[in-house]
Amino acid sequence: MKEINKVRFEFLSRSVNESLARAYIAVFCAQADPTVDEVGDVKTAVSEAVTNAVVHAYPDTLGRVRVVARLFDDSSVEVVVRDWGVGIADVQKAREPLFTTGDDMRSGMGFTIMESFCDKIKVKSVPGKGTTITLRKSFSTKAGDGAAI
Amino acid sequence: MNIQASLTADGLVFRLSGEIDHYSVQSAFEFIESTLSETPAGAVALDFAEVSFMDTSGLALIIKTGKAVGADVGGLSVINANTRIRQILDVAGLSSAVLREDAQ
Ligand SMILES: Nc1ncnc2c1ncn2[C@@H]1O[C@H](COP(=O)(O)OP(=O)(O)O)[C@@H](O)[C@H]1O
Ligand SMILES: [Mg+2]
Repeated sequence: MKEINKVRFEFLSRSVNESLARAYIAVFCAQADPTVDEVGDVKTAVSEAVTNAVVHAYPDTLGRVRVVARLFDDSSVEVVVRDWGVGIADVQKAREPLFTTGDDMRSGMGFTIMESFCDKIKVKSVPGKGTTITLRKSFSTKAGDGAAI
Repeated sequence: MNIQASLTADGLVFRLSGEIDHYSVQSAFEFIESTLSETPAGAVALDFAEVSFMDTSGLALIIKTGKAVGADVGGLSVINANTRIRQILDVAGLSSAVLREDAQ
């Protein structure tokens, strides 16, 4: 599996940037010619990961959020969302459905949705240092299929 | 995102459009809450026909609206939700409570 493209962008943890991040990723994924549903899956999962960085990682401050996306020659994508915020004390607990430390505008279903819309999700977090979420998704179309121009 | 309310023969319908995420959900709920307090309605529906994107912020919106409507979330109908939105409701175990098949 060879990397064929890579993008990296960083933004301030303002809520308004959530739509920017998922739109950017959707355009990047389009290079692998995925189905509309497949892009939608990645968009939704990225929105969850980025929203978590905005809402939970930096509760009373603005901080940096970095997204690195890589496209591979087997028509799969990896998206890494990283923050340098408060971190997660108990990752296993945080990933349970309905678990939330947020207010009533949070459902506690973010990790569950990331899991069901991606093939794989990895969570690395150090309290006080930050959190890294790695999402992986394979697309049904093989890279190189169709008329690439 | 945008939200409009209309009083129909079937009750109060909120038409949502655009992208529902954490950024847009708070003001949407405030609009729903204030409309509900001014317009007593029997049935309340959230119409998702024009919603192009929703993440789990939309789940919180549906749950909070359901609570504002009545004792349990079943007093609220979600209509015209696309496949992806239905999938999110499914994962959250909300589908049977709020989804209505007889959407116009
Ligand atoms: N980037 C992060 N930084 C700190 N805490 C996080 C982060 N992401 C998730 N969490 C923790 O994990 C919990 C569950 O996240 P999630 O499943 O997305 O639900 P929600 O965002 O609705 O609370 C959050 O309430 C929070 O406590
Ligand atoms: Mg979340």
